Amino acid sequence: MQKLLWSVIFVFIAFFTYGQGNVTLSGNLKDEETGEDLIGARVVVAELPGVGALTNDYGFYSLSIAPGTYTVTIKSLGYESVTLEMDLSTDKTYDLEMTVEGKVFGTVTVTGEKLDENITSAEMGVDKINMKDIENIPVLFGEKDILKTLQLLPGVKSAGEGSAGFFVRGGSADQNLILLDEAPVYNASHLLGFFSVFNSDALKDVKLYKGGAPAEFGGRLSSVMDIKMKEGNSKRLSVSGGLGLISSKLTIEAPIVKDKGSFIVSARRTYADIFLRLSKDERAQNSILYFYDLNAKANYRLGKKDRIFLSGYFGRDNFGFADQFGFDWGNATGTFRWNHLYGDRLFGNTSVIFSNYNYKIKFGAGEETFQIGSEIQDINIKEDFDFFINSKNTMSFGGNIIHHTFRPGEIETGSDIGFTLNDIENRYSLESAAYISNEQKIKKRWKVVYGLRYSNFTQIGPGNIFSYDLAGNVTDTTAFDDWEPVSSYHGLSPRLSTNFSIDEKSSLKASYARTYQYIHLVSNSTASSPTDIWVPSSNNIEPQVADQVSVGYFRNFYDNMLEFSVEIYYKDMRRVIDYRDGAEVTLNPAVEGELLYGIGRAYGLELLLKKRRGKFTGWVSYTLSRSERKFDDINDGAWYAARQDRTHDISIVGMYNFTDRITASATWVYYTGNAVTFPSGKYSIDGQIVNLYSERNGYRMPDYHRLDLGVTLDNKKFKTVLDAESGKEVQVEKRFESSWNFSVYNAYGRENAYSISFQENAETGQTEAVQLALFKIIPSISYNFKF
Amino acid sequence: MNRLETVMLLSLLMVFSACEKVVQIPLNETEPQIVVEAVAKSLTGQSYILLSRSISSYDTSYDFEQLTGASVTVSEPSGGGVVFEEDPMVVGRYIHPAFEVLPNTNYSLKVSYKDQVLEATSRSMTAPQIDSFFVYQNIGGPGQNPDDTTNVLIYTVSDNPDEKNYYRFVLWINGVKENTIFIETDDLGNGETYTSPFFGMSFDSQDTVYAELWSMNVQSYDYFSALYTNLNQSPFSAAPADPPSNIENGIGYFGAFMMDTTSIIIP
Repeated sequence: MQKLLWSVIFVFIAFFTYGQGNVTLSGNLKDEETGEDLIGARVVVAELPGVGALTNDYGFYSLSIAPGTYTVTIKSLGYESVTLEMDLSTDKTYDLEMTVEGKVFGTVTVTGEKLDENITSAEMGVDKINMKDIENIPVLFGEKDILKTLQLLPGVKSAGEGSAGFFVRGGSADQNLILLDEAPVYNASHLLGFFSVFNSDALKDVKLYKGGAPAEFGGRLSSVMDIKMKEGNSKRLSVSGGLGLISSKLTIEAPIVKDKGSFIVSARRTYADIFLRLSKDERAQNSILYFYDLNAKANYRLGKKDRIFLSGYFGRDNFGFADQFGFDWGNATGTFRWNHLYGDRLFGNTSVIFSNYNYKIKFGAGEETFQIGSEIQDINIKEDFDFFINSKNTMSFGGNIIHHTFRPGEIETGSDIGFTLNDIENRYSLESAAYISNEQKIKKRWKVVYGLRYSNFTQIGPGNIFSYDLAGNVTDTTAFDDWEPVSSYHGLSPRLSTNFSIDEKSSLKASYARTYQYIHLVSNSTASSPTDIWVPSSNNIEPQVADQVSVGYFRNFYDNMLEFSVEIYYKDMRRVIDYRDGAEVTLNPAVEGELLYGIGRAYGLELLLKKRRGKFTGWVSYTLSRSERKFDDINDGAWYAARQDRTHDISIVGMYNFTDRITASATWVYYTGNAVTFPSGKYSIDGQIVNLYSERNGYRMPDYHRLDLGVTLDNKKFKTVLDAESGKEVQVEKRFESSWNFSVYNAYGRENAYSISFQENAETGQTEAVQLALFKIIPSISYNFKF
Repeated sequence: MNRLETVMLLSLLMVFSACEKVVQIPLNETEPQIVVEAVAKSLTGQSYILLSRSISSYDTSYDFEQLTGASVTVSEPSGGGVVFEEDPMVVGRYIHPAFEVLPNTNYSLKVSYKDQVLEATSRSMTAPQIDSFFVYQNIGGPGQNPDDTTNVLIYTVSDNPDEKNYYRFVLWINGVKENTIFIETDDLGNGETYTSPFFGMSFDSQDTVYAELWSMNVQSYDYFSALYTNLNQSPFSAAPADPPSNIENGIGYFGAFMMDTTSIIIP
């Protein structure tokens, strides 16, 4: 199969490169101030309407056109456009460092550029976040968080109050592939999901594919979140940081060799435990409760054609009590990349990627310890190519192979503990994929991205592999040797997205994608729990499969100041996973026997109206949707609402620039309550009162709504100095920038239900529905600086 | 790990501003169901079957109607049937003075109440073995002051290497049954001598603790495991569900349990 795909790739290349007498304009686009690569910047030619090139993830572009003299314009969102005459009689390399828009005026952003990428691009079902918006949008405890800001966009739903977890288009939380510099992050949240592991200071670009992801991506059913870390300032040393209510952070970036290489190191740590230590209560003093993140990245340009990157993330939560109890968990990722330019039209990238997530729980001290842990670890080798065939075709192709190690239960005991326990056996698998994709412009109005992804998942030894009966009991055990295949699955995922431009202001889009998911998260909790474990597809677990179709209409108004879109989607899911009642997830060697398999469907309508320019910016998003599941053993095999099924979901985000120093912002969210299971009676057994349940997810939580407010005050950006030559006073930009941010989460103090439990009143014995609300009014303040 | 999450949540709540209040949630009521608690023991004459009915969630009478006048039979594969008679002391409880469960045997239960017939089967395992009970004095610890002492009761059991074993400990402290469900499997140490504390329990000096160790098949274990989950819901718990009952036309459980017992006076 893989051979076939490679043959297809070469036939494609041969076909597209045949008989072309074109010249190629190529180069790299960067930010003038920081030297950061510009992703998705456009190079267009005035004489050839509809012809242009986009920079790839590394800021590289390549455009092949007939020889001649052209007016070439280079533009990127948020940067000053540059237009110049170019004599393109032979191949030419043109690198450019672009200036941030508005910088020269020292005022609010003004732009004459047409921001119509949403209309012209074939991409749909994509949510992007401007990193600047993240700075202004108020969030819980003032901790800027990309995952929470993304939840304000249509089709993306919060996993619960204050949660960084999210659901995309009716999928479950584990169906999101979260990539940080290509490395999967297996548990993307801290402190039971209240904070994401992503320190926004270290991030450059975030893109969420809700459907129709390019063929390059695969491995999860519902979405791909592609997060890229900053490369670091290659011009000068730059330091930024912030002091917040619960955490502080510091980022240092600097050139290694100016304009050739740079690095960035960014760290964040919470300090609730430091306050606990000040407490008079001895118990509080001995409590441990914190998390930290460390992001680091370096890049170096070896020559015109080669560049290397090394990036990593390390973060951990620590929770414990003195030396007697400890619970810690976290992710570590590492990515090594090598960019190479093969000629001026073929861009290649080789990556070696590492990712690890583990948790450890320790009881006791010294020789009387008992420690359990679990781990998942990946080593991934990946090769990607961008082939800029001509002005009408850009092809991407490549492949990768991942070696997964699953350690479901490691047990260590001290010598004095008096008993031994066996580890749960490790599981190993290989996940590989090859893909090819082409973005083609057809005439002036059509743009089509079509691709094919082939993936394979093979469970390998060593190990004693169990078989189960229908009731989930082990029936047989077979021993396998190192690297011996146990079971194997594969699948072909066609991807298609197309854009038909009705006119300059509006377009119609449609997409289709099939996705496969070979590893599954087993969790007995609704929050993101550190003890959730990933299990691979195996002789007992088949991969999950989904097909999604969507169509959309995109329209801009008032010279692209207002952006409107409507998308509808339908997603069909097969072999989705749920758990047997009372399933034990932790330290269970037979966890595969606890799973149930069913089908799912999700469909919805997403509306977005966004104002992108002016003193007032922001958006309104509305999602009308349904997400349902069907399992033979749940609700007698009838369709029922998935937990994340919420009929209405509204977000309103507004930001207002009073002056260039004061920005106010407000967000309001409303959504229908989750589907939830409530009792329909009670009975007595074993001397205890037990709730009787009749239907899974047959009830609804109360509707949720909340208003958050924020104000950012920038200190003066300019100072007045006396110009020595002219003797006049002039305004000079200050090197040191700082700002204060004040915010209020849940400004009108609504008690939104986090959970509702049915319990006996201690005094009357009466059964009561008790609602828990987590956060009432939470004000916060933070100070940020940069120099 | 529910308990762990609860501890974490509580810590978070101290930091945050959580609040609880009673709310009115209308519930759909279902038909009352017959609840069977059928415990067949290897201890002679100590088996019992309790019959009652479920009631609506907001019922204030708390009258789980105990069912009298039922016909209750426990039979073995050999064909012999033992009729359990109503306990004159406890309404809705059915007992037999000589019945005892034998190892590795199939049992079936038949309950006829008015025009309803409820049936269930269960297979017993080999007898479990308690090796020892001892007390460890722990000083300090999570959530304790540094000089607080806790009497931790620790048990050692020997596991049968020839079968997959499932256990439940039932404790009576000074004659009062402890509600906590202690369940265990031999997943992590088949055939080993297994030592563990009764987590979350603290005993006073001079407490008399009587313990029954039940050995059971996987169906009974799954029932107790789900019952434990059901009784220990936290705000983070996944959707709750009824424990998987082996009672046809009813809810609850019928188990044939092999037992070992011991008792200790906490020093």
